[in-house]
Amino acid sequence: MRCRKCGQKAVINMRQHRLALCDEHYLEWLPEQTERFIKKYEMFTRYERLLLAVSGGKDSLALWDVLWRLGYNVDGLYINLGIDGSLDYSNQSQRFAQQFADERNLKLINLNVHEQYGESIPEIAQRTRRGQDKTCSICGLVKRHIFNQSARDGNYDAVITAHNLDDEAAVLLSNSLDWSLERLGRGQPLLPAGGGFVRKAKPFCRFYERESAAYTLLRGIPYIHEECPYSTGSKQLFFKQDLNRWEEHMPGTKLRFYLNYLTALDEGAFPQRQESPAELDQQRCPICGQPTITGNTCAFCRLFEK
Amino acid sequence: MSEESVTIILKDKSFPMHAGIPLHKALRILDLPANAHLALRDGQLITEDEMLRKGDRIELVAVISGG
Ligand code: SF4
Ligand SMILES: [Zn+2]
Ligand SMILES: [Zn+2]
Repeated sequence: MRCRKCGQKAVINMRQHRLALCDEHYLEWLPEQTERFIKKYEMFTRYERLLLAVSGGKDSLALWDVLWRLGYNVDGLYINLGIDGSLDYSNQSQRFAQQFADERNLKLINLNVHEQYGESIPEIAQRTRRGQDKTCSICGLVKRHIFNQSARDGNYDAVITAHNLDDEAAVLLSNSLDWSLERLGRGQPLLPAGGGFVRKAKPFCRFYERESAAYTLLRGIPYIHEECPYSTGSKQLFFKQDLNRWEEHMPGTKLRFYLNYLTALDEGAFPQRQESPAELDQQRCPICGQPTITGNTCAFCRLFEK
Repeated sequence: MSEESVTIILKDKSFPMHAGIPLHKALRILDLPANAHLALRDGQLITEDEMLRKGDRIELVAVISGG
């Protein structure tokens, strides 16, 4: 297979775009597309301070590299979850994140859940009652809380995550199966700031997971290949595998599923929350000051209630 | 008669495979979705239509992460 731009040997074929590219043109194409999505969804500008959630994995390091090359002002935030799984998972991934930042002279903020709250994620999960995918749901809650708090404390204009299309499509599938209209109303690539939440953007939301991995490999960026031990058997992984089987037989299925959803979202197919900023402002957690739906102690602070 | 002269490696597992078939066919035989993997030959990314050659060692990288 040949590169569409120069006719050299292609290193990647994106069937959903009918586009094959060589390494040189792929490394150009992905940042160009990222820039296009940032503009299209009016995510952020080069004058703003951005905080990127960095996990040490392929997606977040690829995104950091791309934003840095495009000239955006991005600091990283690494949250050490205290997950070991006999492979020292959290510390290992932290080392990849730190190495990346050091090599490019970028600022990485490191936070440690155990140091900060006295317990690691698995320890909190052990102690509290939650349903299926318990560790992951607590982990998600803690990460969202710390991320928003850090962005507010550091006066960042927007927080960035490296969610790719496979991540978004898996969540979309899960929410669709549940007919969770409220969640379906919140799947935009850009969520504006409001009620104590910092603006949130996902510049990689239109790339397949395979594409961010290819970028990381072709750029020669070292990243953690091991999976978090709690991801085995997770619902998200299950949905991703199914989506990929459909994609195999019908190329473009994932892309259409997600893009047509965004169109439906734009056309108002799902209910949007209607609180005014003033109303939301009154709904603050009395302990941490972050927004809550109920106005009582937030779900994060409740984890640590005695 | 095709010899099983290709080795496909995924994490700590390795699978013997015939030469002379394209990579996508090999992935189908192993029941590995092509769009959940990238393939490297001598450290170089290759596309799914690449023919597997005698003596090839193909390293697969799983790209789907969960959680
Ligand atoms: S797999 Fe679950 S526990 Fe592991 S990092 Fe992801 S959300 Fe957290
Ligand atoms: Zn080219
Ligand atoms: Zn709180």
